[in-house]
Amino acid sequence: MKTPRSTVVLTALLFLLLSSCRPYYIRQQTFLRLVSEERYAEAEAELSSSRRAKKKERHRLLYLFNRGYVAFQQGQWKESAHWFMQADRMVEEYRKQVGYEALALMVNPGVKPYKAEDFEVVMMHYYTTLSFLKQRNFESALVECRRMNLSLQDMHFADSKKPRYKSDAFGHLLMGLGYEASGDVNNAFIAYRNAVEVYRSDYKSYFGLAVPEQLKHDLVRSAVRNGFQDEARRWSDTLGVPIPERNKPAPDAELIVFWQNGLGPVKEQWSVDFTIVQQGGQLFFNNAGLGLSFVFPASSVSSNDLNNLQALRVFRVAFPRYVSRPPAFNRAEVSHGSFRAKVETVQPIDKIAYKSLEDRFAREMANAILRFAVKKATEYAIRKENKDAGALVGIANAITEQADTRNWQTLPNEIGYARVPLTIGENKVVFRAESAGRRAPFTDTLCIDAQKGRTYFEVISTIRP
Amino acid sequence: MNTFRSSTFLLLLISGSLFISSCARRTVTRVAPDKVIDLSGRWNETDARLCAESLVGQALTGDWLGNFSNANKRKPVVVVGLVKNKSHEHIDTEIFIKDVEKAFLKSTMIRLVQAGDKRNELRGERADQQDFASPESMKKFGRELGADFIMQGAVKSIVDSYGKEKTTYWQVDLELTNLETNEIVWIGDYKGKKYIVN
Repeated sequence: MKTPRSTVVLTALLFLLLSSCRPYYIRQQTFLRLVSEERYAEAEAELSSSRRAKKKERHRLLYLFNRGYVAFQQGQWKESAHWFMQADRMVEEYRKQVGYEALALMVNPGVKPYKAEDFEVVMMHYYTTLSFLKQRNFESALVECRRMNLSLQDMHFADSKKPRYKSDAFGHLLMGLGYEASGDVNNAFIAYRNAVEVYRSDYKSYFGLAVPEQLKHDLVRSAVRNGFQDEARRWSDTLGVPIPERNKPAPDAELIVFWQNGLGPVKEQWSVDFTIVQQGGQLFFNNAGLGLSFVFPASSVSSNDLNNLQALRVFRVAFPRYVSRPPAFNRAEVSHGSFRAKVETVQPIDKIAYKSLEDRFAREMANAILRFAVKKATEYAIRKENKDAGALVGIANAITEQADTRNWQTLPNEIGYARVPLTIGENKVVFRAESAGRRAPFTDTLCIDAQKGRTYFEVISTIRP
Repeated sequence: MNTFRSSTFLLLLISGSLFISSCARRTVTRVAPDKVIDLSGRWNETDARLCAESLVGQALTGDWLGNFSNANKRKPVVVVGLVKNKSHEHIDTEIFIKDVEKAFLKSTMIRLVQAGDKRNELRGERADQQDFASPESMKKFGRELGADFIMQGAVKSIVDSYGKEKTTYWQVDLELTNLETNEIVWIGDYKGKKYIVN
C-alpha cells in the first residue's frame, strides 16, 4: 500500500515538532544533570561529544561558555581561560546579519546565533579574570579587568534609556579586587567607588541589594592607601565605616573567597494570546489579562495582509520567560581562628536575569507579534489559493512558532564574597553554608600556605539542589 | 494570486540563502608574511612587525649607541627586561621583542645577554655542571657578561566606541636605562590606530 505523500510530510513535520519544541534546558538535560551533581569531568565529556553543541554555529557561544565553566569548576585554569577567551572573541565580533534577521522573522528567533546577555558577558569576564588570578598571572587578569571595563562602558552607552540593569556593580567590584591584588591601588579605588555607586543606586532599587559591608571598608581603605584623605573622609561619612588608622599594620596576606551559590534560572516558553483591533489608521494587538497593548501603523502592512490579519481576530505568540532554580543554601560565613565574616551576596544573577528580560520585554514582544503577523498573513493568503498548501504552511507555522529559550544555564544563582586576613604560613579557613530548610549545613576547609603581602583567591560552589 | 506568488518567492529566497550559506567552503591561501590583512581589528602580526621595525630603526639610529661606543671603545651590552602588557588585549609581547633582539644582533653594533627565566635556566645548568661535568669542560661561575643597559617597556591602549564604531589606539614604549647610573638614554615608541565599524 502506498502511503499518501501528505501523510509522509505530516509525519515528518510532527517529528520535527516533537524534536525541536522542547526548551533549550530540556535539550541539555544530561549535561545540566551532571553539572548539578558536580560531576564535571563527565559533564565535559558529554559536552565535547555533543556534535550539535560543537558544530552548530548558532549555539557555539553557549558551548564555549559551558566548556569554560566545566574547566573552571575542575580547577583547569588555563583551559578555562582558553575557552572563555574564545567566547569573548565571539561576543566582540557579534553583529546582526540580515539573512538571519529575515529568517528569524519567518521562523523564530532561535535560528539566529545566540547573543549573550549583558550579565552573561560580565560573568564571562569574572571566570576569565579568576582563571588568571588563580594562575597568579596578574598581567592577564588586569587585561581582563580592562576588557570588562570596556564591556561595562558599552553596556552603559548601548541603551541609555534602559530603565533597570544598565551597569554591573559586581563587575566593578571584581575589577577593584583584581587591581588591588596586583598592586594597582589607584585603579582599585576607582573601581571600588564605581561599584559602591552602582550598588547604592541600581542594585538597591531593582534588586534590593545594599552596598556590601566589606566593599565599604575596601573603598575607604583604598582611598587611604592612595593618600586621598578627602575621599576617605567623604566615603567614611557617607557609608558609616571608620577610617583605618594609618599606623595599623595590614594583614600579612589576604584571602578573597567567592561563593557560587546554586544555579541560575533557565528559560521556558509561554504563550500570550492577542486580539487584533483596527482603529483609525492603527492596528492594536491587545491582551487585557496582562494589560498589554502594542500599536502598529496599519500602513506598515499591505492592504491584503491587513485584511488577512483582521480575519484572524485572535492569535497566540510564543515568548521566553525565566524559571528560577532556588539554591539549597541561603547564608554562609567564613572563619579563621577568632575571625568570622559573613559571605555577602554581591551578584544576584537570578534577579538580574529577570530584570534584563523585563527591560526589553516591550521590544521583544513587538518583534514576536510582528513575526507572528507575517507568518499568519502568509498562511491565510496561501490558504485562500490552495487549501492543502495553506494547511501545510499552517502546520509549519505552528511548529516554528517558538520562543528563543537559550541562555547560559550553568551560571550560579548568586555570588557572594568575603575577605579573610591570613598569617604567613599554613592557614585553615573554614567555610560554612546553611539552609533555611532541613538541609544539613555544608562545610569546607581551605588550606592556604600564605606568603607575605599576597592576596589569594578561592571559589566555593554549592550547586546541589 | 499575487500574494501567493510573493510568499512562495519569499520562502524560496530564504531556503536559497540558507542553502548557499551552508555550502560555503573554507579556503586557505598562502600569502607573504608581510602582507597586511586586517580581519578583526585586534592587535595582529602586522602590528607586531610594524612595531618591531619602527623600534629597531629608532634604537639603532639613536645617539646613545655612538655616545657609548665612543666613550668605551666597545659595543654596548643590553639585557631585555620586562615589556608589560597594559593594554586591553591579550598580546604576546615576546613576538615583537624577539624581532628587536634579532635586529640588534644582525646590526653587529649591540651585544645581548639573556634575562629572566632563560638566565635562571642557564645558571641552573651551570650549577649542575659543577657536580656532573668533567673539570676541563665545566663552565665557571662569575664569568657572565654584565649588561650596560636594560631595555624595558609597556604596551598601552585606548579604546573609544559608540554604537557600531570603534577606534583602538596602541602605543608601545621601549626605553633603555643605564644599569649603573639609572640614566634613561633612549626612548622609542610605536603608535598605531584602527577604526573599526561592526
